[in-house]
Formats: sequence, C-alpha cells, structure tokens
Amino acid sequence: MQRCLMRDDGLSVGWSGGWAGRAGLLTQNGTLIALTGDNDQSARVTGAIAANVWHAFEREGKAAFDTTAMNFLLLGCESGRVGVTRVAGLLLCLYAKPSVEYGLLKSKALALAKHLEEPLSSVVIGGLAVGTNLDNF
Amino acid sequence: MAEALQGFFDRLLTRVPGLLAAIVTDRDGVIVVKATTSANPQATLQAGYLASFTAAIEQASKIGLQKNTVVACSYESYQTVHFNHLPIILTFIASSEANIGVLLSLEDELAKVIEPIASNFRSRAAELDL
Repeated sequence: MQRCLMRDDGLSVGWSGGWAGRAGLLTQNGTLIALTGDNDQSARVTGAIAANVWHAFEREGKAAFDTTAMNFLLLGCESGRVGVTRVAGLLLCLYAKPSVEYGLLKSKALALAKHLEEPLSSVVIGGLAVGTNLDNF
Repeated sequence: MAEALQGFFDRLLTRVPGLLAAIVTDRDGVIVVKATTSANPQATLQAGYLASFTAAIEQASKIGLQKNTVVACSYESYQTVHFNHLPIILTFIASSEANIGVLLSLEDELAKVIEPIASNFRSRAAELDL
C-alpha cells in the first residue's frame, strides 16, 4: 500500500528537474518499507544508515536543546544529498543530486511528509515497533 | 594563528544573523576554538555532545554517496550544521530563524580556514602513530 502511495501519488508530482529520483519509507529501526526508483539493495543499506544517523542526532539534540523533536536532517555528501524527515511514526528519506539546494530538498521532504501523513496514519499507529514482521504488512 | 582564528569566528557570529555558536573540535569533542553568544545553550559546549557526532558523521560517509561533507539538523527552536573535516569537526548552532543556506554557502571559505588545522592534526597523529 505504501509503495502505491509513494509511487503513484506522492513522488510523481515533482520528481523531475535534477533530482536523483529515489525516495524511501523506513521504519524507526531503518527497515525499508517502500521505495521509488531502482537499486533496492543499496537503498536498504542507505536507509539503515540514514535511520541510525537520524536517531543519533535526535538523541543528542534532545539532551542539548531540551526539545522534543527533530524536524529534518540533511546529509550532504560529495555525490549526493539525503534528506530525512518523520511522517506518521516512520522516516521518509529523499535522495537528491548534490546540485539540489538544501532549501528545496527540505521543502519537498516536508511537503511530501504532509501529503503522506493522513493516509499513512490510517495504517500505522505510533510507528512500527522494532521487530515488526513486515511479511504480513 | 590562534588569535586570527578566534577573530574569524567572532566576526562570523556578527556576519550571520541568528548564529549562536561556532565550535571547532577534534574527533573526541575537545574544543580547539569556540565563539559563542549568551543565547547559546550551555549543553552544546560539553564534550559529550560534541564527541557524539564523530561516529554519526563517519557513518554518514558510508551511505554510498562518497565522503560526507556536511550534516544539517533542524530542531524546534534550533538548527545545527556540522562540517566534516575529520579529524576536525566544525559545528554551528543557530536559532530556528537563521538562514542555514548562508552557513552552507560558507563551506569553501571555511575549508580554507580549517584545512590547515586539520592537516596539522593529521601529521601530528601520524608522527605519534595514532
């Protein structure tokens, strides 16, 4: 269901003009639920790493800033950028070329998260617990 | 050298609206240079907080997009930007209203300032066989 939502409705809206064309939906522990684009194998690895980095920065941010939530994480690398945000207890991960501006990536991620929030909330309550059997999902 | 570096980061606080702190640390979170304002949360100057990014940044380099150069986080009231020049990490703390694009655009300018220190650290580490 998530795959259909992402591919047909969400990402097709603005997934052009210099974008790498890949987005993933992850559980809190980094397990890939849905992916647009190709190369599933590397997406599993990058998804797991992105989720781990998200939790590391969120944990330290909570301690240092006494804040409840992190809204957005950008990982800028030499050959691409990754934007991560939270949606309905899951993590939305967007992959872009290095030429894509930070603000644009953030805006797209937050807009897509807003778009997916309602439909995902109806199937995911409070996020998926660690160890959820995704075969039955 | 140290005074020039301190002056550079002090000026940076006035150049970038909303910037609360600029902190240069080594990979263990030991502060090399810092420039802060009174609005900056004190907890961000603790070694525990600053050291925690090294592992995360090193992990981000394994994401399959070559070396990680920058990590930017957006919290409710604050934003942070971390530039990776390992063994040196440059951390900026800014308010949520600050323009992070301005900070990111300083990447090349900052690299010119930080790289001599980073290469110094690298050569010292090689000498000591660390």
